[in-house]
Order: sequence, then C-alpha cells, then structure tokens
Amino acid sequence: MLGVVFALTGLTLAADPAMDALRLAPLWTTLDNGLTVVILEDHRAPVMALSLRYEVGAAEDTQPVAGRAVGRTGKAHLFEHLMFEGTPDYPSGEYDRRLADLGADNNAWTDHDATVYQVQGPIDALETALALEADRMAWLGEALGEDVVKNQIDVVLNERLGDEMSDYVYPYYSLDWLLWPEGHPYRWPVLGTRADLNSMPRDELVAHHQRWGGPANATLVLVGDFEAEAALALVQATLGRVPRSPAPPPRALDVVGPGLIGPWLMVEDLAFPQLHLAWRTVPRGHPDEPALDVLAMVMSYGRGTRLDDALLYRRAVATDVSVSTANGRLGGGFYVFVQRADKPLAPALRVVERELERLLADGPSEDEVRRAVASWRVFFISGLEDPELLADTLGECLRVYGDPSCLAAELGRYEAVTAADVHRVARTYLNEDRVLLSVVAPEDARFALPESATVSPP
Amino acid sequence: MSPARTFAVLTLGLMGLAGPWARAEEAVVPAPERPRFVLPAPSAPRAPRLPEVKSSTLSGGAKALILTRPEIPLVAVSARVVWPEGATATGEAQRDGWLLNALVGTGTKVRDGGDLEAALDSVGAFWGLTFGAEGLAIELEVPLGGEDAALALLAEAVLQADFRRREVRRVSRDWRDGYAVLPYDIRELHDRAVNHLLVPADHPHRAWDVAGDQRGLRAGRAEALLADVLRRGQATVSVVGALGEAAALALVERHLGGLSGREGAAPTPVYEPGVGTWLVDRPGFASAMISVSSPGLSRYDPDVPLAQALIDTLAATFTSRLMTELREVRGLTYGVNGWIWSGDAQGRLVVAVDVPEGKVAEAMGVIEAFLNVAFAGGVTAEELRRAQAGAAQRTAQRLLLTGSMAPWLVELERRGLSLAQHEEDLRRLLAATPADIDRVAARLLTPERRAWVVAGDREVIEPQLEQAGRPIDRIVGAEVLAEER
Repeated sequence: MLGVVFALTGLTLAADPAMDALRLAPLWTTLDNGLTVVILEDHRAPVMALSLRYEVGAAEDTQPVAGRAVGRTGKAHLFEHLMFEGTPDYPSGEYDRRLADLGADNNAWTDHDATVYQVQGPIDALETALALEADRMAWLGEALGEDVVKNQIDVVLNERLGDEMSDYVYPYYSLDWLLWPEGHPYRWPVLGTRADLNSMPRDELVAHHQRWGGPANATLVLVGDFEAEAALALVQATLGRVPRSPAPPPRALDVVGPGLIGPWLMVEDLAFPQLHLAWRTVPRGHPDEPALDVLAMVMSYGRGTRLDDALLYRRAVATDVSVSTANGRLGGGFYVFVQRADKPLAPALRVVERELERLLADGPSEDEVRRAVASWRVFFISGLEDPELLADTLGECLRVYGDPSCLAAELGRYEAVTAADVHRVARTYLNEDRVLLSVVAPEDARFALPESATVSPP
Repeated sequence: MSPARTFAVLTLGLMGLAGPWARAEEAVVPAPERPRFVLPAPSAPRAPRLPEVKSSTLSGGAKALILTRPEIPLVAVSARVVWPEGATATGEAQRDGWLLNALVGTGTKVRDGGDLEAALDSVGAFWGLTFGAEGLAIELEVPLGGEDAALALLAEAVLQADFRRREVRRVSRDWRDGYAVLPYDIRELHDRAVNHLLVPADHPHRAWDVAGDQRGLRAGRAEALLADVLRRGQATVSVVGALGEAAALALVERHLGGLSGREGAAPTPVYEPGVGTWLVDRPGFASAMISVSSPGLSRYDPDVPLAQALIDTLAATFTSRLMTELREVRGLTYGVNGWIWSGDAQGRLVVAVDVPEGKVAEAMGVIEAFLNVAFAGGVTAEELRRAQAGAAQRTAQRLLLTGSMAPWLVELERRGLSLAQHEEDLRRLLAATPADIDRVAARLLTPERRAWVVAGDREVIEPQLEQAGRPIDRIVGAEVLAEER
C-alpha cells in the first residue's frame, strides 16, 4: 500500500508524515525463470504503471562480439527502438496500437547502465501490457527485417542530429570523452557514433537480445490500483511463461585512470561561449553521493547560492550557470557549466576558482546545507505521486541497494548530511584532476581558454 | 580456392542459402519451447470519476477552491489575480507587464531576492511567481508542515514587493543577451516567424519586442502595475493536498484573504490569421524545423474535445498517422508533434516536425497530403476509440499530481468552467462518432487557411521547394527577423 493515510491537520499528526509516506512495502519476489518482480499497490486512482528494466546499457556496447574486438557503440539504444518493431504475433506497430486502444501510453529509455521500458495507463491495460512485454521478450528478433533495422537507424541518426544541434547537449559528448579514461565504457555516447550506427548489422542486434534480453536479466516493477497477489498471478501467467534465459555475460567493468585534463576547445556553431569543468566522483549508491548532491546545490540552486550570486546576481559575469551531478553503476561526475555573452571565458573561470577556493577552505554553512537538504525532501515526496516515476525508482533502488523499498532510507541519507560532510567531499573530489573545456563558435575562438587543444565529439 | 571452400560454395548453390552444417545444427538443437501470448479483448474507455471540490469565498472576495487528498503529505496552493487590461495591452503597458514578470520575487520591503529564495528553499518549497497578459500567478508545492511559512513568503513577495534598481539592470542585461542569442536559436526564430506570419502587427499577441526595447526600464512602473492589478483584479485561489478543508481555508485566508479586486479580464481582440509559406534562413544548420498552423477553436467552443481527438489521430501520439508515416515508414524524423491551443477568442491547430535539411520538401509533401486526406474525412472507429481512451487516461493521470491539480482548478474557475464541465466534455467525447470528428476536421483543416513556416538553411531548402512546386511567400534572414517588430 502506497504511503500511510495519516490524520489531517487539526487532528493528530504522525511525527514525520513524509518519512511515513516513503516507507513503502512492495511485494518482491523472483520467478522460476529468473525474472525479478516488485509490485506496489497504489489505490489513489484506477491506473497502473509498468517498468521493465533490463540490466544492459550503452556501457556494454563496446564489449567484444563475434568477429570484433570492440563492439559497435549505440547498440543498446538502437535495440531499445527495435523492441517496438514487432514479433510474429504482433507485427510492427501493434505494440503501440494495442496499448493505445486502451488509453495506455508507453515509452523507453537507455542510459549507460540500463534499458527501461515503461507503460502507464488505466488499470484495464495491465494484462495487455504484461502479455505484450512477454511476447517481445520471448519472440523479438523473429520478425526483425533488414528494412526495419535500416529505418530505425535513420530514426536514431535523426535523434542524434537533434543532440548535435543542441547547444546544451552536444558539449557533453566531448566532456564525457575527456572525463573518462581510455577504454572506459562511459566515454562513448549512448546514441552511438554515426559510423557505428551506419554499419550496425541486424544479426548483432538480434544477438544483443539473446544475450541480455531474457527474464533472468530483468526486473519488472508494477505500481497501480490492483491487489498485489492478483497482479502477481497475471505476471506468472504472462512473463512467468517466458523460458528461462542463459545467464547474461559479465557486465562492463570500470576502468581506473586519469581523464584528459586539458584545457580543451570544442568548436561548434553556438550562440554564446561556454565553459565546462568536470571531475570524476563516485558510483551510484556510494556513501558520499548525497553530500556531493548537496554540494552541487550549495554551489548553484538560485539566488543566494555561491556560483549563482558570484556569476549572475552580485556581478554580471555570466548569462547562465549550473552545477550538476551524474552517478552511474561504474562511476560519477560533478559538472560545472558557465555561459558568457560574447566575452572571454578566462575571467569566468577565475570567479569559479575563487568560489571553489573559499568553499574548500571554509566549507559551507549549516544554513546552506539545510536549504539544499530541504529541497531534496520535496523531490522525494513529490516523486511518490507519479506511478511511472515511482516504478522506475523502485527498480533503481533494487539495483543500487538490493532493496526496492529504499526511499525512506535514501531520504534519511540526505537528511543526515552535515556541513562537515559537504566540506569533506568538496576537498576530496573537487581536486586538480579536473577537465576544462571551452565550447565556442568558430568566429569566437578568441574567447576560449588560452592554450587549449581541440577536441571533437565522438 | 581450396577444395573445402569449393565444396562449400557448390553445396550452398545447390541447397539455396543454407549450408548442410546449418541444417544439421537445426536438427540437433530444437528451438526452445516458447509460449504464445493472447491479449484480452479491449474494454471500452471509461471516464474517470472526478473528485468533489469545495468552493468558498475569502473575506476580501476571492474565490477559494479546496481539494483534500490525504494520501501524500504535500500541499499545493495556486492563485491568479486578473490583469483586467492584459488581453488588450500593447506598447508600454505590455512592456511593463514583461518587466513585472522578470522582477516579481526579486525583492520585498523586508528582504532581498536571495534571502527570499533561501527561505523558501529551506522549507522545501517548489514555487513560482509569474506575470503575463492574463495576470499574476502564484504557485506553491511544499511538504505538509511547510505551507504556512512558504505561503507567507510568497504573499510577502507580492503584497510587499520592492524591486531594486540593480535588478532592473540585470533584467535589461538578460533581455539584451536574449536578443543577441535569437539569430542563432532556430527554435526561437521559427516561433517568432510563426507569430509574425499569423498575427497582425497591431495585435497584442504579436511578439514585436526587439533589442532596443530593454532601454529605459523603470522599477516604479512595474511596482505600480502590480499594485493596480492587486487592487482591481479578480482573484481565485486553490488549495490541493493533505490539508482538511478548514485548515486549507484558514491558510489562504491568513495570507491572501485581503485580495479584494472584482474586475475580470477584457476580451482578447479577434484577428484573421495570416496564411502562406515563410522560409527563415539560418545558414549552416543541418536540421530544419517545419510547422503548419490552421485556425483552431476558442476554449469555449464545444468542439474542443473533438479537435483534441482529431490532432491525436493526426500527429499527437505514437500511433498517429503522421508519426507512423514520417518516423516508422520513412525514417525522416525522431518524432512528430501535434497540438491544439485554445485561447479565449480563437485558437490554433499545429503540426510540427524536425527533419534533416535535405528532406524538407518530402516531409512537407507528406504532411500536406495527410492533412488533405483528413480534411476530406475518414477517421476510423479504431482511431476514435484510441483518442477517447487516451483522453480518459490523461484526465485520470492529471488527477494524481497535486502540483498540477491546483493550477488546473484555478484555470477552470477563471475561465468560467469547472471540473464538472470537464467531465461533461469527456463524456461527450466518449459518445462521439467518427462522423463528429470528420465534421471538426472539415471545420479546421481548410487547405487555403494553412500557414507554413520552415526554418533552416535556405541554400539547401529553397531549391527543394522550387522543385516541388511549392511557392514561398517570404524568405527572411535570421538577423532581419530578430529585429522585426
């Protein structure tokens, strides 16, 4: 049952209703065919969300395949597209149409660590969604023609073109290339290189499904207006009948080593010069992750935060600033982004460095940390409202902590962060091994950091 | 060639494509037993049951709507104060409105913007303060327990606003930077061209601002406008979430109860939208943006739900005709967008797509052919059922989110609509027939009333359109468009 219905204001309140609401108790089991199943009842509305997570992502793309020492990039993501292209019983387009007939919506995403398929719709769509997922888990590849593969390669090339045209996405292709060491699977873009996409053979994609697409490599999460045991019976009658798959191959491994510090220059047709700084940090679930997330918000989260005040509000040094973190299975990054309007980037770097020096010397105040932690609290609680988001989160909880009901404990980790913790992680991770990247338009080369070597995104 | 290889090639030739070893493997390794999966028969779409909203009036006269939902410990508050002349404002008055939007929340008589944001963040609030032609909007979503402190701060930001001169300088600088970016930003260029093609130059919806307009901004004018709107404009407030009715009413009474204006919004003037084809020249861009707009419907038109079903069928969903043709059949795009916009006086139906620059004429040809087919009628029962089921589900989904329910209730109320009206619209859509959708298509998709805008590299696009026999009414450079009122 989702959350706890607590007494309304004016009557008796639980000590911490947010924590109570986050203490979820999903049904959690593993079927005979190896499929992990997590089911959470949510009776707020007659809807359901399904998340089917396969433990394979772009990190596995470069693993050796038959005849190649290095696999082609973009495979996991392209395969995600092909999962919608039909089976012998439900040919191309049927998956979408059958769900849409019931008012259900579907989507999918791939990152370096996982490929996730989502369905959200009325509760009446649950059985259909499960049967369609079972069908494509068992039968995908049988009806996959060369023409379909070629078509979806074109679609993905158009998706990549959208990234290439974006001032705010394409620089991260270069940044990841520089941040991760030679041979690290996170260096390559999830969408793949144009060369690899254009040469992707159908058989390699079918083999990808056979290696990674079986029930023993997947986790199904259901959130919705059903009784958990009844939903489990439907799962048994559908995905539970897919034959057990062989154990998947070993997953991609971390590669230890320095990134390419720079300074680097990427020349792109963009409006304003950009400065990027990036550091390697910790994998998802590491004890330092919450303090790093809080550190990012202390540095940039609106007025009254350090870089925003120094670059945007107290002085007009920049037109845009952000600080973000990203943590995956094999490691994490800490990113600072500054944009200037037609001016050299070096003065902006000096302001960032001065603020960093202050932070490393004195650490943040308790007030700054409290502000950031309070914002995390509302992220967690509002995340309970959307069944689709919640289903993905439970799957992620299971992978990271081995427990799908990790939300209360996870918020507890953020609320335990102190100013001393933030100071410590700043000193530990924001060291001199940072990547420095200027991104400027061809006519703005003079604005780049001096003595930069040129980098081209993969 | 070795003897073994010669044998293999001969054998392959005799046996078709498969070698004998492959057949032997098939014989000894049986295909795994794989079950088939039969889908249940689809059920008819059902309208979700909409919750009961309690309505009340605050002491100053503002309407208050309360929806109690105890399941998630969140509270959302939404408030709107009408700018009576907003829909007709042009020139200086319109610019004052833009300035007020940029300044609201940047300072009060007791604290500056940094302290205000820090205090709101420290109670875990998601919040927003905006101002536009329709008036002032206050949005808040906060964990239960933080609502009183957060709403007090937002009320202070509005009722005791004090805009510093340095903030005006910042706004001026931001606007100047925004204009500098415009010629590079293909999406902004495209949207500006759509606006200039459709809307007459003297209409308030015309986005006529240019780089020179950031000069001479004065905080005092924005403060005066805010005070005037708070004094005269009709206010509507909603509270959604884990507060009981009495506690919710007390909360908004305490902080916003003094809002006492009575004036509603002046109607937006109606205009005849432009038609034709414009090409915005953005050299060196490998991708092109295409959109086609047709006149749509006022939000009060009873056909609005049917128009939504029409656009769902055409372009707004994964199973829509244009998504299937442009993406799944031709691989021309990552996705197709389709939507209807309905204002108080009139509306718009839009289909938009990004394609590689060399595929513009092909994509336009496909879109035009599909619009013409839809104009002639022929929506199928299957397509209608999908649109009906999708509409029912979208409503159910919307009900789940506290932060989106609160502004929705206010918007419905402000427009003289209600959740009950929405439920009625949904029921009417669920009872509609394909002939009803065809009637709306004939009303909205008239070929002569379409407005096309293409943004991309002229050198690549113009020859394609010439070859396809598509006349271009205007070719405009990015720099020229950016400076054009």
